[in-house]
Amino acid sequence: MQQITRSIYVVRTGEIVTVEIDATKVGNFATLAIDGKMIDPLPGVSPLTFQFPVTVTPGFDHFGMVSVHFPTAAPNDAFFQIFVSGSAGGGRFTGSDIKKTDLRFSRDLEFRNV
Amino acid sequence: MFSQLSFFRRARIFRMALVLFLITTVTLLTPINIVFAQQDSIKQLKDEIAKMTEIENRTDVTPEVRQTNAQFLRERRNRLKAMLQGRIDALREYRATIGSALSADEIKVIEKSVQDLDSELRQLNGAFNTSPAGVTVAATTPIAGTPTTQPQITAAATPVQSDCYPNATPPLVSTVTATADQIVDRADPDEVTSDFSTILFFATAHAISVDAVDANEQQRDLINRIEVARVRQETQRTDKQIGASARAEGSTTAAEKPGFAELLGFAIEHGAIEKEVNGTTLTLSSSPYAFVAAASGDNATTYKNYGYLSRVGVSANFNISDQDNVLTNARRNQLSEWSLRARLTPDRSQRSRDAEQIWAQVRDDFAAPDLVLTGDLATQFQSDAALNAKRREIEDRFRTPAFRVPVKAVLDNAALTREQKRAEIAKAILCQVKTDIFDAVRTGAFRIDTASRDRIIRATLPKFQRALELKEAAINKFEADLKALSYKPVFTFAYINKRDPSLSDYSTFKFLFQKKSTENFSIVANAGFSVYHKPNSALHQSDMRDFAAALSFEGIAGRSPFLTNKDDESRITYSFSGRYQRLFENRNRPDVKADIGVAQFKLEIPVIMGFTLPFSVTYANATELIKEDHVRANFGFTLDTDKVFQILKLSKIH
Repeated sequence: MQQITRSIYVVRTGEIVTVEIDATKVGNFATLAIDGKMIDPLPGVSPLTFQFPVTVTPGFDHFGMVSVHFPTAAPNDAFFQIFVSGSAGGGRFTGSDIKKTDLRFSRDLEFRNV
Repeated sequence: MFSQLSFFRRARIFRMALVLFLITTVTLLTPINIVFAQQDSIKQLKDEIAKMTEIENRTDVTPEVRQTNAQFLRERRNRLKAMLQGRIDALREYRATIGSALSADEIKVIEKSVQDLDSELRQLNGAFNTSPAGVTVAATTPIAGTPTTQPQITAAATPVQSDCYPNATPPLVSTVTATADQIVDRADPDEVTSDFSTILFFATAHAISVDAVDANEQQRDLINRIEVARVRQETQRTDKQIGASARAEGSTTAAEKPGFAELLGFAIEHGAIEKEVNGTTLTLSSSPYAFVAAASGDNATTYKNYGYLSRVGVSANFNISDQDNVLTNARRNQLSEWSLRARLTPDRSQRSRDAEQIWAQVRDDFAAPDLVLTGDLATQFQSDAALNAKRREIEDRFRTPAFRVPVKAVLDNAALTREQKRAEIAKAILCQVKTDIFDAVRTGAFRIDTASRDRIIRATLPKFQRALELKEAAINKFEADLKALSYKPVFTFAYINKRDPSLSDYSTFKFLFQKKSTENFSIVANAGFSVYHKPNSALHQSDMRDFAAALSFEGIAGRSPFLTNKDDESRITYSFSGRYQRLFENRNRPDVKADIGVAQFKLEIPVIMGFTLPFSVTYANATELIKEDHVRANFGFTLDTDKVFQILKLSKIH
């Protein structure tokens, strides 16, 4: 896996992508959707961890979206941090972050199979 | 024979001509029909805008009404803009289609109509630019002090949004505004890619809607009615947030003196210890969890592994003698009391297991818009490699110097405020979206086929709107269930060590109970006893000092009407409380009473930012030292500097 920006990653067919969402000062209120399907988090794993395989062929992409919620009771400095890694190596990349003071609580994730 | 054939031919030619005439008439008049169909809703929108503008200009409306009105006004102006632009496009298309068939006078009539609509649109853009709610369309500010080596963004170089993409839809404007805000906050132009799919979807859907002549007005206008903004309304609830943050973020000035005060300052800065100064008392409080969180981060993993440590809390009160550097008062000889509290009931916070179980119930509905959006993108771009390559190309153009350099120049320009930077960058994004997506879809340079256009208009957009409603309902249910969770009773055990040099030190053991019955009302009760460490028989003291019980009804009466800052949501609070105490050392003494009863009414009214006016009336049948009953009224003025800073911080964000 390679990181192009905090939201765009280069992957290859068959690679298992891992998306971790670390919640600070707030509960694990986050979801990940990939290509119109909900990805369930791995049970009992902390931080919140999602996995899916790259099934598209070169030239195509997987479209993902992370959405989070900050309850009223969460402090203003609460935030979520996304980490992305792939089974084919490349390392664990720091992805987007979402702060309670942001105007939008969703972030795109794009996995390009070049 | 010839004449018969000729008759049939003529009849066929006549039929074909008739069909052609009907097709041409229907085709040519379609824009006009759409124009007429829009007349009523345009008039209705104008009426609504006029009424809302009147409210906007009034001075006697509350901040909530003003804010809500501004949001609705912005939405209607955007819809009106889109409709006016649609009518202009239709008239131009009509003129181009008919061309030479129109007389000079007829062309003038069309041009006059276009001119009038255009002027109306410009007027509307002018009004929109001056609207306090119009965040992305503020007039371009020439950048002063930009290094000459960097390309300057001026009014001429970067037109305002209205010049670039005047009819951008509300969901697109909201998303781009949020993206621009992220770029400013993270100082990174690449942040645009974190919202690109959403921007692409809204701009494509808009282009398709404008050209969908076979769709009805409702379908064409749906993209204007989608409301995606759920703009951090919670952060404006300063009553709760400021209170919480003030404690959590209680920062100190740089510690100048070494030693314990410096260590305390470090712990406070890193959130391990909370500091509160109330009059002449300094309170430092902490929990074992706070130290673990300060060391390894207060994230979900730490909370999962060590959250149980938050059951226990400790605090210490010190008498303040040095007001200049309050932490130097944290000395043993100034310690007036310390206490230890242990929560006996399970964790019911927003990070508890119960809260996560509630989340699991609403999770799927919460993610519904993401499922629709990513699903549509997959359908659109996972089958046509050329189209996907074009999509990547459009996205990657946001990472070229043509976009990055001017955006970086805005970010680096110290003369601009955060809001100005956000507006400038939003305009830059919208301009690029207009040419690379909106125009490209309309001209066919970014080819979206008929079946996909039909799917987006008739299926995806309505599904997306329903999904947003599902998400909103999920959030409301989640918040309501979390609130219900917080209403469950909380039992706490407290140990208090009271140090009194003039009398004798003693310890109090208490059980505390708190139960909220509504968001604005709660019952607090406690009961306990105290024992002397070293009873002084000369003062009639025995091992047992006293037994005491208290009951209090506490309520919130709403936002204070005296507050002028819209970000300050401080509430008026009131309480009725009663307390009974049996003081054993006062038994059998004529000058004092052993049974002491106190009743109190207390009201706290926030008057201006950070200032509160507390007022209380207390009746007591005696005190520990005086036998006589009495009524006492107290009032004062308190200043919460942390709250002031928080409100100013929020005001800057907005």
